Amino acid sequence: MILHPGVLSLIIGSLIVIVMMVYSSALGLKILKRWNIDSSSSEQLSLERKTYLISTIMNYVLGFMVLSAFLFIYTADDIHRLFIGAMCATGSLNANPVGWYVLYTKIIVFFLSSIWIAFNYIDQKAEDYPLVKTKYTILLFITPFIILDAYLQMRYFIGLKPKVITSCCGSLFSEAGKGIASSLSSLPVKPMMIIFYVTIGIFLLNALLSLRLRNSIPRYALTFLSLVVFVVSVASIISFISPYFYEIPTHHCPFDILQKNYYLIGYPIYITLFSGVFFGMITGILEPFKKLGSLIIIIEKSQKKWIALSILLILIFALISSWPMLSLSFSRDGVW
Amino acid sequence: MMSIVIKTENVTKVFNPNLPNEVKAVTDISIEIENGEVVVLKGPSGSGKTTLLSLIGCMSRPTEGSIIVNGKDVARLPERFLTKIRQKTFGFVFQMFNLIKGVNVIENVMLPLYPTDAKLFVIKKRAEAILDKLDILKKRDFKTQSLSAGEQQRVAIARALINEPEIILADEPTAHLDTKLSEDLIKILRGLNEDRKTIIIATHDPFVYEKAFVHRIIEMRDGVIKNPTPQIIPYPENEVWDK
Amino acid sequence: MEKHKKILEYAISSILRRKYKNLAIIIVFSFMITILASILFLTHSLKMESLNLLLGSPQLIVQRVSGGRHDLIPINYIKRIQGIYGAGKITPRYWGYYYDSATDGNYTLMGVDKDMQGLRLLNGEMPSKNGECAIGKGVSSARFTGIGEKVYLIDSKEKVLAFNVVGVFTSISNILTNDLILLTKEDILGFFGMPSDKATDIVVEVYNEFETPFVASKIKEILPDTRPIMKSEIIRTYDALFSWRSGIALIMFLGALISFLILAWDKATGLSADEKQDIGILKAIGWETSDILELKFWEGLAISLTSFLTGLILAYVHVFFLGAWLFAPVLKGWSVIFPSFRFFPYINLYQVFAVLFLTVIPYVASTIIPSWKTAITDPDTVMRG
Repeated sequence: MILHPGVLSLIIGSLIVIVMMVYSSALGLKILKRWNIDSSSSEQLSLERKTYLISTIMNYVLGFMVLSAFLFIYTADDIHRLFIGAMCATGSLNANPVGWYVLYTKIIVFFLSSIWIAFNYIDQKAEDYPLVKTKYTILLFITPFIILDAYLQMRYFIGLKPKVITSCCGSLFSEAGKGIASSLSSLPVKPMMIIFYVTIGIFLLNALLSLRLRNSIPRYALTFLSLVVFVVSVASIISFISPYFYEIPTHHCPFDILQKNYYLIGYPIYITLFSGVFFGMITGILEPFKKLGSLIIIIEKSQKKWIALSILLILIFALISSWPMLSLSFSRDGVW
Repeated sequence: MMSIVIKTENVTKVFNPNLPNEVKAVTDISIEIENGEVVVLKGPSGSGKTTLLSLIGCMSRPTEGSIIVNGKDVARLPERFLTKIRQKTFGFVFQMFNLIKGVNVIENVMLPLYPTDAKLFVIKKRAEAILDKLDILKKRDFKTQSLSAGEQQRVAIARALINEPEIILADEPTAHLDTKLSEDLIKILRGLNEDRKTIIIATHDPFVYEKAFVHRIIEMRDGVIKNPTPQIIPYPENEVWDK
Repeated sequence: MEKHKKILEYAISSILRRKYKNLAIIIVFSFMITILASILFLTHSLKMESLNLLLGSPQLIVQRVSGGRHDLIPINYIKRIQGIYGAGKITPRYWGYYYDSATDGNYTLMGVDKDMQGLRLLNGEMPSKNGECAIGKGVSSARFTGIGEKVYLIDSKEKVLAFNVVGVFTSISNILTNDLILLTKEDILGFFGMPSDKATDIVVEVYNEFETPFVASKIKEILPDTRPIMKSEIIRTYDALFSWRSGIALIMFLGALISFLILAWDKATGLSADEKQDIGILKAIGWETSDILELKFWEGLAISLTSFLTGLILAYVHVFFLGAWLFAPVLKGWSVIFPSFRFFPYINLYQVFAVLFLTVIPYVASTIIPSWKTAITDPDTVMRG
């Protein structure tokens, strides 16, 4: 266990969020059971008012999750000196591989709560609140992930054993040989580049298609392609995008680009990637709900907006990511 | 061309249902109000006129029955949408003025349009125009607690008008005004009616309901309508005298 | 967009309208943030200070361990280490601690060789003859002495010795030189009564940093009774130590945080009649529940950001201009002699972010339910009188 301000903040923050989420889930369950939009009973009114509380909490939870993902990475980065061979956050995560799962759960919770907020947004535009049941069912799925996230996070920090000098035996040099791998194993650069640009190309084409056609198929495909773009992009960031920013072909850390030394370029990269993927994903997820009469126009209108946004964001993401390759390829052609 | 703007069908509102302190505020009310009418809900306190006014004004939902505003049944709408309808249809003038203390006159008038997408300077222009029309623009930067009762009432009316409502609802508007100020208020209301606004006033002040511009009086007692066939009571001679 | 701007504007004007109530919360909140940020700034600064210092320190220190304890190391070990491939210059060090009952402080006494470099002097010079010494700023002011005057120390045989001060260290913030007294090597040996064929420890320079573990393991092999300590290990230990210290300090601070949250909750739930009236009016004139929630969100954000910035600035002043007088003794825990101590302002965004996380998030969380309760006021409340 490492006692550290960042660790404490993360643990306290997670506890607060769990309390809020468990409370909302209890309210959500009650809403699922008792909701009756046609009733004018005072119970229905009070349930209706509780939905405001839940959506407020969910908005805060989403905000918290984004901040906590960053704080988690910062913390991992800050403590890397405690581990032999660790050179950045990657090393700290490798020091106790549970750390990677924490990162995954944070990403999952981020997407789930964003999806929830999108459902809520659509639902609140229709006078009969047609998505109430769906919404609160999703909510019940988010809570376990938040608890899992907090649990894994706790296990990660507890499982970290910093290698410090103890009074009995100072030297730990014997362990230096099996120090923590400082880099991630990454896919070969050239094929990865081809996959990256082809995927982005297909995604953009399909997005343009779904913007033009009212057909459902390209929109479902958009959801699927968003996921593919996400996975491929993250792999590409590790494989070749970040090394280009570091100008070190062997440094495959997806986190260091968040640092000042690299002009904080990681922020625009991740923000455009995550939000672009989200807007692409949500388009198809809401497609089936057009069947609910009152939603068809609302969803159609929002989808147009979302598709346009995701095209724009993914395009910006691809441009920023390609920038150093374009500017460097002249000077370093042979090396890469 | 007259058209029905508000129609209630068997509206009942019960407070604290199934509790010992259950109150049937209004029971089985069915009325129709036409565009451009001035209607008074008359009755002693506790007669349910304020409750009816708040139901018509989409402030609360009836326990039973339906309320149709401009052809749309609002009785079962969630609060979010009720508020939207309220925002574009109604202007409220309250008994206690209900201005926010410590906030200056113009901002009080502008407040109802804050949670809309209207630009601030547009709202400000509009507020200034209304304050000017009500002859109180010179007090625009005063805090409301420094105004006289009459001035406060006019600010409250200005606020009710900022969203350009087609229906004005007034709850005991003369309760805190002396005769002279009540006179002024009636003049303002009459002016609004001349601008084709529908006006519904809940009051038990004869000074109001005996005025010529009132087209119709609906008398209430114990939550029910006392004159079951509401009729138009014209005061033609009064009107001549008034003008 | 327009809508949010206007609600934000109204939120700020309503905070200003209730200046005193909000001021109370801002003051308490700022104070909390000041304390918290001070802890983090201070430990971070100490950590950076030590790390910077260690960066200039030798790659490898060899101690002799006897009976599980640190012992004096024979000089002739140097010859045996010299043969190891990769090892550079090897120098013995002579040093020890000295407790001064007059000032109730611990000093570090160190012997110098002629070629000892890298330490800056305020004025004067290094001790070159027996009976001379150079002292740290802390020692100088604790003993009210300076160049040209004398320092009296009692040696291991209870004999009072006088040393001429020939130099005083300049470094304002340097942790190591503050409590330092430099003597000549011979004086040190005599003072501590150390045998002349032994040193306190041995410093080994390694040409290639990456070969340090190899050199260290070789030394351990040849001289099994020694403990080689690598610089990276020391850095790691310091790092862990300071993180641990600030963690402990934060835990002590949690109680205060919780009581503040209770206060915030109380303030937020215990709305005055005036405020309730205002919310009722807003609801009546067409504000929706979510608009009120947004209003409350902006209010909370404005209050916490104001407190946050105030707190950060106060903490900065407290730590870097006032020497963290509130709790430096607890956190430094090094030696009692720290009469004046200026920290170098090392701040990273991470510290700021952690403070934000520890204060603003719990505050915001504690106001959610009270704000919601206010926001669901019936719109017709004001009509029912």
